[in-house]
Amino acid sequence: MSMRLYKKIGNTIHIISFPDEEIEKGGYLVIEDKKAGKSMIAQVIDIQFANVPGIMEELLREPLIDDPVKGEDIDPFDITSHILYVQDARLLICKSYGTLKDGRLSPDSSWLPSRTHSVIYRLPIERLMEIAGITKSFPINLGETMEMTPIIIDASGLDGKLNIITGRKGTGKSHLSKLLVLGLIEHGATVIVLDLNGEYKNLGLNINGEENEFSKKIHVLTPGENFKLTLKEVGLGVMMRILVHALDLPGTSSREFRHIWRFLEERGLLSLHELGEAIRRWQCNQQVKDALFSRYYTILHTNFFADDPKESLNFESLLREVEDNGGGAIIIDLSSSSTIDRQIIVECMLAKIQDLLSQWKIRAIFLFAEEAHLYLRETYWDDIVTRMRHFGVFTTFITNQPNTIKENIYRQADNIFLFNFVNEHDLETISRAARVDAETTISIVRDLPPHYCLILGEVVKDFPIIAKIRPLNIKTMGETRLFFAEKGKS
Amino acid sequence: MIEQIHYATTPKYNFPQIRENMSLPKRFIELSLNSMSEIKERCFQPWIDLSNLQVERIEEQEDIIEVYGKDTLSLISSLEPVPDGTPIIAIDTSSIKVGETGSGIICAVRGAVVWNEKKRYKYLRLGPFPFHITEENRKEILSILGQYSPINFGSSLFLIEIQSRLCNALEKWIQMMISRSVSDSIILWDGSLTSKSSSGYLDTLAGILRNARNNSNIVLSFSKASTVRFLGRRITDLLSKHKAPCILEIEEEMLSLSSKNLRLLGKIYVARLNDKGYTFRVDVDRSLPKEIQIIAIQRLLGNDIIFQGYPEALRLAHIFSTFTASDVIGIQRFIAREYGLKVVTWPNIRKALFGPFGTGGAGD
Repeated sequence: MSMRLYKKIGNTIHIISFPDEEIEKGGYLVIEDKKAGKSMIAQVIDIQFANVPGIMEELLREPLIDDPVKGEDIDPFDITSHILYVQDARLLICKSYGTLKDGRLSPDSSWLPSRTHSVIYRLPIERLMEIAGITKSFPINLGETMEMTPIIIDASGLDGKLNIITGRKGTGKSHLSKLLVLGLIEHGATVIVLDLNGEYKNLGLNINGEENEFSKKIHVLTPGENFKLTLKEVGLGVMMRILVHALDLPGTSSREFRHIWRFLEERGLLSLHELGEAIRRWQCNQQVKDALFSRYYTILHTNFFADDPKESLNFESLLREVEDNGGGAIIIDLSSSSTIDRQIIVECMLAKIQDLLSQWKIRAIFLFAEEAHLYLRETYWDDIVTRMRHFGVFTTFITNQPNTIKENIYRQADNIFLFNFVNEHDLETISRAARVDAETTISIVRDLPPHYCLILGEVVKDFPIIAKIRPLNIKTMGETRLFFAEKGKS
Repeated sequence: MIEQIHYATTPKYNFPQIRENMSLPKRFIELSLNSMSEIKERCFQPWIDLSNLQVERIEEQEDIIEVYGKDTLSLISSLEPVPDGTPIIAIDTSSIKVGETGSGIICAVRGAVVWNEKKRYKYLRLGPFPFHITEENRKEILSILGQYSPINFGSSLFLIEIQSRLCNALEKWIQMMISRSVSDSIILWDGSLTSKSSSGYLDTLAGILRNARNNSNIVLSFSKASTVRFLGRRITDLLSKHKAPCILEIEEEMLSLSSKNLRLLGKIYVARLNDKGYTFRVDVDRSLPKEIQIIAIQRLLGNDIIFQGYPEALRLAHIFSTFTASDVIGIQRFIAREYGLKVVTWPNIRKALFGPFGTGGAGD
């Protein structure tokens, strides 16, 4: 290796490298200053051509016509190879991530390694993970690094944390999400997936459609089919949240509804049918009555609520069963639900989970929410990252529209899994993540190939690492149905 | 006496068998190796100063040539291009100082030949050849260069002049090889076809032109800066308002050579080859008949691109031989690696003494 330290401005380091040195964007380097007795660890965030003087003249050695000039060099000393070597010199733009002294890592990047006698060499990611102290107590194998070495994160890095998985369509977000879900349940965690497109339903089946080792741990709930609740199970508090937040019921009408609910509850008549009847008979302003009726029918048509307790799912029991059986995933299939139904279902379910957690009836939940902006009300976002986290709801947001997640969520995210983005607006949004500087994020994410992701945060001890996500032997449903592919088959 | 030459009606393409006679490059390589072997594991200060230290070659110092009698200048204005497929071959060389050692300078020399084959340009580059020139080895270098860069040994030369002699020698050798190995072609050189009658260079130049003629080639030499003057003005200014392509013929009798020992081996023309271009002095082998000289210019017009009044092949030969900064860095890298040189920066006394005013004065 003959890399040379050229410049250091703040935590940005410029290193001159030559074509025979295999350095990739995202790779790590050690700048070892033996005299100072310490080394700086830096990540290559961009590779540019070095500003070698005379390059422009070289490129202009062309005639006035379009054809390039062909020719031969009689170069007995083979100096041309040295000239070409120099012309292909590269400038590595790196970010410093700390100092290694006596085998111990510190975040100090303020010192200057010597330009003249520093030795620069590649730091394998595997070794970096050792140095950084990335534990593997609850391993989740994500795939491999750019250096083809395995990349294993510790599930405890997701515990109690807020995570974001984002990237352009078709880059592999859902795939990683499934991998994390399976990794978590393998270690006994309870996972709830808000499955917008019905693509997690087959997590219990392998690629051939046969049951896999997770099949007993995957519980698919389809609202209106095997996922219904009685009004009693829902409770007034949750119903009021649905009415106010999901169905925008005004204050006066809400008050009347509360009276009606209590009236029925006191008489042991709490059912959908009786609720409708009570609204019809209730002595109140006609406008209030109309407002209550329109919400009532919306609730009725969700098919999510049942009067018969046999039809109803005991959500609490299911969660306990999952916990007792050493973890599992509850997939809420929202693929057939309308927008308003989705909001009602999610509102209802989150309120239920919060109740159970606050009463210590269950331990903790890992919640995977795909495109959460389509069903999560505005005020819930902050609730999820603050209050609900304390109760034990550890959320992972998955989206291909990074601007649908608020800036403060990015700032508070503990782990971010970034797939490719090319749109400047998207890149700017994700660059707000507090776990790494904007330059690193934008430069690396822009060039990530499909199925490669940049991992930032706690699971990688804040050393951004590029991972190629491994394939899963599960039946996928997330693939887009194609018209021409089907035509071809027929 | 004008030698009789025969021009084939259909020019046959037979370009350069330059590799057949490699005697000079062999000697060049030996000389390079010998000179460089002396500097093993010594200190070396690399240089990149393209503006000051790039020399194509030091021309034979030509004195001012005055032209008398404007009435007798004959303008040939109806020059028709002759696109008959005549091969156009251009030659140029260049050298550059790439560093200094404790005992001398290190330079590199490179030559280029460019020809137009089936409307496509091709090139052959020779070098770069690195040399370590010192007070001790300069005589040896000059003696080895022999006929290609004759010099009076009595005269003392700066080391930088030895560098240009090396460049000269390579150029003359390439010119010799091309004149021998091609036929029915137009060969373009950079500079003029003049020499001081006392120097051995005259014989070399005459020999190359003779070889060229023997193979039915015509040598045209383009000067970017001419010393020919008319009433104190540059002769090239006379054509600036004439419609191109046109040439101005300057009879030898009209010339007053202020330096009596200057010998002209070329007939001097002032050529304005296109309207948007510059005017150049063009020397054509004077041993050829006038008609042939003019046809040669017409063939050049018909078989090469003329950009800004200058033949594209010659422009490319210049470009391919010239050193760029990245070339220099590559050569310095080769030298440092191959000979285990220790790269140092010696203090610049001029800069140390005069600070920002310490410019220029290289060599003094």
